[in-house]
Amino acid sequence: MERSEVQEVGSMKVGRARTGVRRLAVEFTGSPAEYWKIYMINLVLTVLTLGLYRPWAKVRQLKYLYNHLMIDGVPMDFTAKPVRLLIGQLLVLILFVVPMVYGQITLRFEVVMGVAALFMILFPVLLWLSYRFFFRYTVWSGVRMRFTASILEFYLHTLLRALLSLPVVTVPLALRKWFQFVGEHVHWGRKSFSVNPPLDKLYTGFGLYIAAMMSALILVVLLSVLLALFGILSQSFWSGIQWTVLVLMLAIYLVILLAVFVGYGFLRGFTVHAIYDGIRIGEATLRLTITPWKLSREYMKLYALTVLSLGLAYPYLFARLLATLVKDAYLELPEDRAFVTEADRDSDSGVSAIGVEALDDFGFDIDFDIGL
Amino acid sequence: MFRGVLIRKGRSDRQPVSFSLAEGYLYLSTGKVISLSEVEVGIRAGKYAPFFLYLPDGSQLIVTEGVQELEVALNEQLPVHRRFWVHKFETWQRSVLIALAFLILGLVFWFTKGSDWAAAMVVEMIPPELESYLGEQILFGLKRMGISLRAPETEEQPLEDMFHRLARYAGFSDAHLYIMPDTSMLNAFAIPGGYVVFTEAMVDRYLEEDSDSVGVLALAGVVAHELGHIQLQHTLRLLVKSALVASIFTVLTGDVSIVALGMAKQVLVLSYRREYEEQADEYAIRLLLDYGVDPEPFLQLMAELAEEEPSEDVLPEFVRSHPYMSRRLAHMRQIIEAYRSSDRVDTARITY
Repeated sequence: MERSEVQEVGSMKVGRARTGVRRLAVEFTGSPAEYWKIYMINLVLTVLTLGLYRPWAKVRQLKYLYNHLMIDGVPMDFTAKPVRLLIGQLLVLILFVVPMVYGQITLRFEVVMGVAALFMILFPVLLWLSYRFFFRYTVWSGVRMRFTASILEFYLHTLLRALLSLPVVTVPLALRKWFQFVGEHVHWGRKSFSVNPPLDKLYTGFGLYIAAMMSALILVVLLSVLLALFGILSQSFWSGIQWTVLVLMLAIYLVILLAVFVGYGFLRGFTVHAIYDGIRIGEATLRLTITPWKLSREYMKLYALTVLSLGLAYPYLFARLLATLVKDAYLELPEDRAFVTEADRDSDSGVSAIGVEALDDFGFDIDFDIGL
Repeated sequence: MFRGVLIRKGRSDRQPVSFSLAEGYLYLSTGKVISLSEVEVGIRAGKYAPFFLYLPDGSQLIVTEGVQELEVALNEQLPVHRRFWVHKFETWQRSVLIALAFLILGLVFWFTKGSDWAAAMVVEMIPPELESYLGEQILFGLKRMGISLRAPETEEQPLEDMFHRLARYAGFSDAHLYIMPDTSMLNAFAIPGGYVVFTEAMVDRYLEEDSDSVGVLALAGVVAHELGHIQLQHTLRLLVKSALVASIFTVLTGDVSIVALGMAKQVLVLSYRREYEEQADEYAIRLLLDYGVDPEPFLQLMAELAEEEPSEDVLPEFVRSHPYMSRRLAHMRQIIEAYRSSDRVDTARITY
């Protein structure tokens, strides 16, 4: 008898599966409103403790997102201890933040430049540590993940990515190579990951990004010409053009913002879709049902509403984006195979959080679209 | 009785189990009995978050049924320090309203008073040597940017004399006057550590040979204004405030919002600058009057400069670094009025 069209897996139903293929539901059971509430309360606790509570706040926020991300009805878990993040934060303070603030206040540019240079040189190491940290503390069904690339391999691939991105038109190629490299070094127990983002999807996202930016550039040039015509460059016109000048300046600002929202929306939407849709974990393959266009729209909303709310809506929008990304997603695997594994060389030694904290402090968040 | 899945250490296959709690022990349906003191209870964020119990042998117990009841039961049986205080606060209905109110009030306080107060406190702790060093670094930075400064020349002697007389009177033991050539801008600015810089265009327009001439007296007002910025440590305060404002934005926002907040931050910093300009104006008027210099030429100079800047209708005050000149002039006239009337009272008291 053929397998039924609808099969119940975990706590939800997943749609029609091909013959001989079984589907495991991937779902986000959290609520964006509840995540926003938790984020706000933890933010207040962080402010009240002058930042000391930040690692605990961060772990609680990550726990919420992880624990509500279910595969086959089993929640993922983030097992890092806040104290580990606190130590990482202290190391970052000593190594980067204190010298940087000292250099800025005393205007010792050589100190500021020195710290910036050190950060740039160490960037691949910090990114490598971040990957190791996040995978080391990501657990599903009792088995943790691992990132096995050596620091040397990682350094070389970071350089390769940078070099491949130089001619601009090869940026999607660089991204593909990068995520293939990352994917082949991620393991869940004895199962290996494999990531092969389709090049056409990466190029579509990148092309739309370039198109948005170029359109904005043309509009900005036109508006600037209008501004010049209204005499902004000529002192004799100062009186009488008041609001026209302001409106034109505002229009230029809005065009730039809009281009950033739309351009980055397409870039992220298509790239994240390309990475995740088709990821293989052993014999299982992840399938997203959302289209890259819809995902791009979600990213655009995330950027626009975050800016409009001065950042306050970000947690809500981020959780919403996560829920949208995995809506009706599933893992597909041969019917006769179980999605189980055993821990492999499962060392109990921890990984420093210095990479995560340093990148976070310098504005490089390592989210689920890791290192994009 | 609670239900969940047991996952043994290092194996991802799951075994459905039921369990109960009694007198500080966890009784598993597999027959195992574990002391609660040995069980690590996972952090729970959110009302309906799954419960993770980490057992001493490395196994995980993920609770799937009876989560709310288990929380109550554990809260009764766990020692006080292991109870879910933050979780309780997170799931309490009114907590988010309290948190939001606190956040909004905190932000309002921070931007209106707090950052100012904190910056003043930090600046007070900065030793004068560091301030001088900062001044030297700014001068060095200008040089590196290709902006050359020179000492006053012979024909600029009247301005230099006036500068040193006023600086000494104001209590500056070490003050320096520099001229910035090669610019058509009419401007002057102060650098921490006692440095005042005039653009050559400004000096050329107002300087006359006679040190008591109207032009020199007008420039004396500019000198007094810039000395005010140094005395009141405005540059240092700006630097510290800027760092403090940025730190709060960084805590509150993600990366993307910085695009918009860069502008908001700039507007906030500009409002500090407008406040500082008024303080420096007040300082200048008082210094001139104390020293016996008529501030009227200075006011005329300011009025003349006002005519050459964009009309007040063109750019609203909140996008300017300096307040509207009309407002500044009115403010300075008020100070003169108040000073002179208090002077009259003083004179009357002494005379009679």
